Amino acid sequence: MKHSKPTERTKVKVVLPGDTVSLDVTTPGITLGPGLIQAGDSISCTKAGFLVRSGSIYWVENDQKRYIPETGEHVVGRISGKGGEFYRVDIGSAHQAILPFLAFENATKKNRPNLNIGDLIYARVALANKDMDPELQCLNPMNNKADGFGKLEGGMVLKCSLRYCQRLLTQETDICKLLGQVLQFEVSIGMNGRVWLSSDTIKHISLVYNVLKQAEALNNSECKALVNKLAV
Amino acid sequence: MASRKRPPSKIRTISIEPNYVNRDGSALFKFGDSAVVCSVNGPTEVKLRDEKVDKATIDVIFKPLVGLPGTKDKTHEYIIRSTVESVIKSNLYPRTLIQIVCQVMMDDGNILATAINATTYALMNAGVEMKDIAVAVACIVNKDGNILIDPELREIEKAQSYHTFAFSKTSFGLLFCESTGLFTEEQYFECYAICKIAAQEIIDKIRMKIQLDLT
Repeated sequence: MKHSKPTERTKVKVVLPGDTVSLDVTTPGITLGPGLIQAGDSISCTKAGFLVRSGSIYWVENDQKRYIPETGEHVVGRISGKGGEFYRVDIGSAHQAILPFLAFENATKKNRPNLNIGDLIYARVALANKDMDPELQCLNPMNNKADGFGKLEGGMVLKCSLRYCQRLLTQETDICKLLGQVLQFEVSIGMNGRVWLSSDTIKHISLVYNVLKQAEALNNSECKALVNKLAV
Repeated sequence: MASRKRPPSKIRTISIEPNYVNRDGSALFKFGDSAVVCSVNGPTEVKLRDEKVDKATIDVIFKPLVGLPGTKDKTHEYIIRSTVESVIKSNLYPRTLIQIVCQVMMDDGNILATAINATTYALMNAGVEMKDIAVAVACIVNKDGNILIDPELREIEKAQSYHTFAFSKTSFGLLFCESTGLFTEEQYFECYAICKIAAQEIIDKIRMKIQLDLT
């Protein structure tokens, strides 16, 4: 997936729930992300962590592990059940997500996708509302093509914190790139704290798994050292 | 009686260890030799019977150091639940369960206060949205009428009265208080004022720990 060049992210300060943040709410284009709420003229925090700023977007960054679905996010899920018209998918959120049979490329009433319980999928959150079960789709709504969504064959899943997934996606941690210079592997990074990875042999898969798992606690230079140690 | 080594208004050394068990959020909180582990799971799926349509169900389980939970532990559960219910923004998680499990690891007095602080840290670690945080401190009034904050077990045994207070961080409003023994109104308010100062110290410690963890 291509990303637009990320704007500089700055860590403003550490906040605790209930702290008020002195931001001017009347600034045009100001956006409040997760962990911040507006009450009247003031903005207060609801989560503990770093208040991060990127342009005019503010949010609180922490080591949360539980996923709260948000429309448009990409997730790695596991099929946990099958209904008449849809699959039930475990994406790590409070409720199981729904994946309709028709939310696949070229799917019709007759031409159904063939997925079984236990299969892994890469999907997009089509609908997320706190009062309803989340809904997934395995196609890009812009062109109705699969675009990489769908069943994930083989490989294994790494569970990590949500922040680590974001770091991998924004390439703030370039461990994937570094590791790619040593051996070939495939990854699908979900925003739900799950990373699917695969390689040619089981030995390589477990190696990639362990490196990605260890890199969660490392900074960029330590990641480099870790990969360099492998390369020799 | 062995005399107290620290000044009357000084709390014991606090130590916090986040991610102590592998759950959505967890923490070990220690006041000297009193330690409680708290783990938070949620928001997660709730049993249909306990489901609330407009907010999260908050379930607290309190496990004592030894043996099975008794009446005292059930009271602790009730207190912790009502304290955190007032700070968690449970309307953001309808039809879900937030399960809080507290396990006493070491008991040297003030288990309830330790458990409330552990719960607060574990909830923050889990990323559960809260409008405020709760911190708790305990103190005693001894036979000579002196107030000793964060007492040890042997001090509590000889106390005239024993008080536990829980405060919210932003307004320093009283979220919970429990007092046992004989005391005057004057003593009570003195205890309240001293504990309020100590609560600030705990908040500062928590803030420092959060900063340390994330960097």
